[in-house]
Amino acid sequence: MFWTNRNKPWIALSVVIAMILGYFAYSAQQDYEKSFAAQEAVIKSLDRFKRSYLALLPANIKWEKNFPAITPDLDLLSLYRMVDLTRYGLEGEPDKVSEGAQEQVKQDKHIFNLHKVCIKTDGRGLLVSNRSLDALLTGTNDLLSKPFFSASRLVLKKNDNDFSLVIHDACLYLRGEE
Amino acid sequence: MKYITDKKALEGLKRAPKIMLAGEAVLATSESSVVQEGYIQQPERKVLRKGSEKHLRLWGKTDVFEEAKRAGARAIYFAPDQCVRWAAKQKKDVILFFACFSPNRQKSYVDEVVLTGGALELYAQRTLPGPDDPRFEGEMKSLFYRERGRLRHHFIYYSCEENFPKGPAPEFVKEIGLEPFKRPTEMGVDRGYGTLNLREFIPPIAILSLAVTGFFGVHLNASLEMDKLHQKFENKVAPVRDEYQQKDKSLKRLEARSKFLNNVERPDNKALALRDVAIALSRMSNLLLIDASIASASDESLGVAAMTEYEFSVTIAVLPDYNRSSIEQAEPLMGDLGKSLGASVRLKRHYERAVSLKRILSSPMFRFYELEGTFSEQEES
Repeated sequence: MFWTNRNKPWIALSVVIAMILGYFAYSAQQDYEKSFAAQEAVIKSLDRFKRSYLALLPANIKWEKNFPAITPDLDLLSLYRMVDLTRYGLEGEPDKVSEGAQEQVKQDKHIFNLHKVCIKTDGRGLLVSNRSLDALLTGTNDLLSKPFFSASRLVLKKNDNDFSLVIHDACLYLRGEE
Repeated sequence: MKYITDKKALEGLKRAPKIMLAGEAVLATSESSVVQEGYIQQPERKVLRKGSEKHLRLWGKTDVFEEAKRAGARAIYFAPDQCVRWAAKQKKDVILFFACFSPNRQKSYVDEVVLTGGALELYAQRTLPGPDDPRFEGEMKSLFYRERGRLRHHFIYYSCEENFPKGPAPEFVKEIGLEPFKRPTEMGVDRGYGTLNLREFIPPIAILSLAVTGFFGVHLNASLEMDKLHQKFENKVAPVRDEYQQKDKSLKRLEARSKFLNNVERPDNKALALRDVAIALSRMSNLLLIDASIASASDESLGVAAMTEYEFSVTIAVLPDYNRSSIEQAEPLMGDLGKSLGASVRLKRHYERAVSLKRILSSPMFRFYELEGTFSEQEES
């Protein structure tokens, strides 16, 4: 009954409109999905950032704990005392302490507010000694394990009464003011 | 015979190319005009209009169908003038048009159906005299006067119904491609005036309505959903995004610091390695440690490289009271020392010097014995 000549154009029009609607609905759904996926990606990205940030946050605490701050009254002797050789069972020669190289620490193009300050008591580096070879090497190892201290080369010598060890490029990492 | 309702209907009829118009009499469409004339003549059934030369004829059922048959009509179709125009537009070929009430009187007509119902029922039950009955004229006249002419339409319709019991020849109308008009009872209160068109338009209107509703529904729903999603997104992301914006630089600094700390906190085995060298050498009672050094080959690269290579060098002196056996014992010790420092130890000049050492053993003097090598320390990942 509906399929009459009079109704045909209307029905055709309706079908066309229905198809357009279908397309719009499909398009809207696609947009919805895309938008949803994009927003989810952003959310995940931000969540990842947050997790990374929280995971790395302890680095700040370690940073302050491991690296002594540069203070206005810091001089060469206090720098030497900062190494605190006696704590590691090592003997040094504070009278001979002299200033070595200084530089701001860089890593992977990142410049830290951290200064590498080197000291030496021997022409080549920081001289430490002990009568016991084992104590000398153990103490040196402990010193080298400290994050604020760095060295490049160790040279061991047998002296008459003791053993000595020259720590080449003995440097301290000192953090500047934030 | 012409059945003319009004000017519009007449125009519609004229546009219909195959409309068959029966007879020559003119039937006034205006009920009031019939009523005003006040004449119904039988058997001629001619009514002379006052002041006019036109013939007015009121038709009973037999007249309608007989005239229709004579005119070759294939169906009797009662329609308001809109229907005629529609039929003309559709180029239907069989239309016998009969007087219709005027559109502006439809409402009142419908209202008065009830009033006329009794009379119609009388006729349907044939208690009303038929056209051939001598009482017909009087009864009809009485009816017309009583119902003020409005009965005419009903009368004709009932005539039609009697000849086509199922209505206006539905099968026949279908055959010729016409939509059958509905009987008044099927049309409900609206008596069919204009109902036909509405019914025809119901499917496309309904589809269009559904489509439009669907369109807006889908878009409204999608819009609402998108708004909700966006709001949800904003609620969830905003705090984190703010945090991100504030701490983005801080995060990079943290990453760098963490990496740097990881490097400087890495246990440095330089002194331990050196200790191993020294202790091993000290076991060689007949050898004296002169010098031992160890350094990372990468020159304090702060551990950027995953592998740190160390170079070590040990210089020992062969004591004067050496003997061949002690030297021979020293050699495997040196080999063990190398192994203890790692699998990648290379004793650069060990055997070479050992060869030369053996060669000079005969000379009772200090000789230096130098061990050099490298070892690697794999950084834990």
